[in-house]
Amino acid sequence: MAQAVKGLTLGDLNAQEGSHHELLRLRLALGWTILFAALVGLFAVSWDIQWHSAVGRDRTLTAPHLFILGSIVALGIPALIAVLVETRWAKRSSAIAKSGTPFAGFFSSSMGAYLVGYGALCSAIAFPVDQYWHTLYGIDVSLWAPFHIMALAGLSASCLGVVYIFISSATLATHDGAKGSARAGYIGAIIACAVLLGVFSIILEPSLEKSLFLGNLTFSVHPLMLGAFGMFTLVIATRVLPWRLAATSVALVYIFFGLVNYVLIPQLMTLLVGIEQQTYLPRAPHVAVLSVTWLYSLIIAAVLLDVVTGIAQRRAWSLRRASRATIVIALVGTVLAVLCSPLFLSIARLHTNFILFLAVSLLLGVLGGYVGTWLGTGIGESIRREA
Amino acid sequence: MSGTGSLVQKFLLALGVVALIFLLVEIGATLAATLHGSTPARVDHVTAGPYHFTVSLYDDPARAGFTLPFAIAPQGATGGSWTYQVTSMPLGTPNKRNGTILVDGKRSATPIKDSVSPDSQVPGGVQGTAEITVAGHWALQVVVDGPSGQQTFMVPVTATTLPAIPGWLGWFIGFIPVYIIAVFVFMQMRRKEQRAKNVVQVG
Repeated sequence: MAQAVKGLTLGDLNAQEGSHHELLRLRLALGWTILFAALVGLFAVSWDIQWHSAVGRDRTLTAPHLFILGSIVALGIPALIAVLVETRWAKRSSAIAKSGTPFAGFFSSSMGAYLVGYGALCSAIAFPVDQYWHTLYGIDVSLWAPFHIMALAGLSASCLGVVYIFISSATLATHDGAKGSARAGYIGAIIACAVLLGVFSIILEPSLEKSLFLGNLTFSVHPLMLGAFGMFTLVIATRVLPWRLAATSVALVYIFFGLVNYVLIPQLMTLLVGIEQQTYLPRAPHVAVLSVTWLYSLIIAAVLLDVVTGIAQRRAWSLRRASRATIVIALVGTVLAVLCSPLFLSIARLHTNFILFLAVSLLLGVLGGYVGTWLGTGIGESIRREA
Repeated sequence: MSGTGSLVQKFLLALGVVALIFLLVEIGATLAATLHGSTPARVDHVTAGPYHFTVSLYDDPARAGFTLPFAIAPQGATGGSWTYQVTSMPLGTPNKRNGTILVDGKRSATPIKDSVSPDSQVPGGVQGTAEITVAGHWALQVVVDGPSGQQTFMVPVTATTLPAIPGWLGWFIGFIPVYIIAVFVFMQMRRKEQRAKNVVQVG
C-alpha cells in the first residue's frame, strides 16, 4: 500500500530524493570544475600582468594568454552544461524545476550557472576587443583599460556565480542529510569567495598609484575600492556560510593565494623566459607584482566581522541591530585594513599634505565600506534565498 | 515572472546569442589569419651580402593584432644548410620609461621573435608567421646563416587596424558587464525588499 505524505506517495518522495541527489552531484561536480577554472584564471592573469611588466606584451598567444583563454572556456562550458542538463531534468521533474531559477521562459538552472556563463562570455568577448584596443594604444596600456575591466568584471561575475552554485549544492545536501556533500559545498564557497577577492585585488592594483585631484585636494580611491570590494565579499561570506569563522576563512585562503603568487609567478616567469629565449625589459620587476599589492590587511576586517556575527548570533540580536553592528564593524575594519597597509601608507607619505590626503582617502574608504557592506548583505541574502 | 522581467530576460538571451556569434566569427578570423594564402599579397626581392631572397608576405598591409604569414626563399644556389631567425621589430623612438619602443611616437611595442619552419616546397626556404602587435611601421628583421656566412636584412611592414573608436565609447562598451551586474544586483535587492514587504503584510 502506498503511504501518502502531504499528498505525495512514497514512490514520489523516493523519486524526488533521487532527483535531488542527481542535481546535487551535478552542481557539486560542475561547481568544483568551474572553481578550478576560475583559480587557473586568477593565477594566469597574475602571470600575464608579470609578463607584461617584465617582458612586454609580445605575442597574442603567450602561455599566460593561453591559460586565460583556457580558463574562460573551462568556465563557460560547464556553465552551459549545467543550464542545458538542468533544463532537461526540470522538464521531467517538478522537484528539480523547483530547485532551479527559470530564465527567458525556457531555461531552468541555478542562478549561479547563468552568472558563470554570462561572466565567461563577457571575458571571452573582451579578449579579442582588448587585442584591438592594444593595436590602437600600444602594448602597455594601463590595467584600467576598458576591455581589461570587461574581462575582469566577467571573471568576477563567474566567481560570484560559483558561490551561488556551491551554496545551492550545500543547501540541497543539508536537506538530503548528506553532510560530506554539504561540507564540500561550503568549502567550495569559501575558496570561490577568496578567488573573487583575488580578482577584485587585480582590479584594485592600479588604484594604489593613482591620485585624484579636486582643486587643491589630493586623495586616493584605493581605500574606497578596498572598502567596497573587500566588505562586499567578506559580508557575503558571513551571510551565506553557517560557520563562525566564515570571513576569516575566506581571508586566510585569499592570503594563501597571495603567497602562492609570490612563490609561483617568478618561477613561471623564469621558466617561460628561458623557453621563449626572451629578455627582461630594463627595470623589470622580479617579485610577483600582485603579491606585493595583495590586500593582506583585510584579515583584520574579516576577524572583526566574524566576531560581531558570532556575538549577534549568541545574543540573538534583532536583524536590524545585527545589520547596524555589521556596518559599523565593516567601516572600522576598512579603516584598519587601509591603515595597516604599508604599501598604501608609503605611497601616501609621498604627498605633501599627508594627513589631509589620508583623512580624505579614509573618508572615501568609509563610504566604500558602507556600500560594500550594503551590497554584500543584499547579495548574501539573495544567494541564501536562491538556494 | 512579470512581463517586463520576461522581456528583459529574452533581451539578455538574444544579446548572449549575438555575443556568441561575434565570438565565433572572431575565432574564425583569427585562425584564418594564420593560414598562408595561395598567392602572396606582396613579394620583395632582397639582397643581403652574397645572398638573394624572395620574401613573400601574405597580407599587405599587415593587420595589427593578427599574425602575418610570410615565406622566405633563397634564390640561386640553395645547397648547404640555411637557418633563419625572424624578429618583428617595431620602428620608432625608444621609450626610456620602460624600455619599449614607441611606434610612430605613440604606441608602445617590443620586438617579437617569430616562428619559422622549413618550407618543404622550397630548398633552403622557410615559412612562418610574424606577430605585429600595434598599428604603424614595423620591419621583419631576418638573420640568415647560410653557406657563405651570416647576414641580416630588414623587410619593412606597415600594419593597420580597424578605425579607432573614441575612448569614451570604449569605456562605455567595456563597462557593459558592470551595468548588467548592477542591474542584477538591483533586481536581487528589490526582490529582497518586496519579500520583506510581503512578510510584513502577512504578519
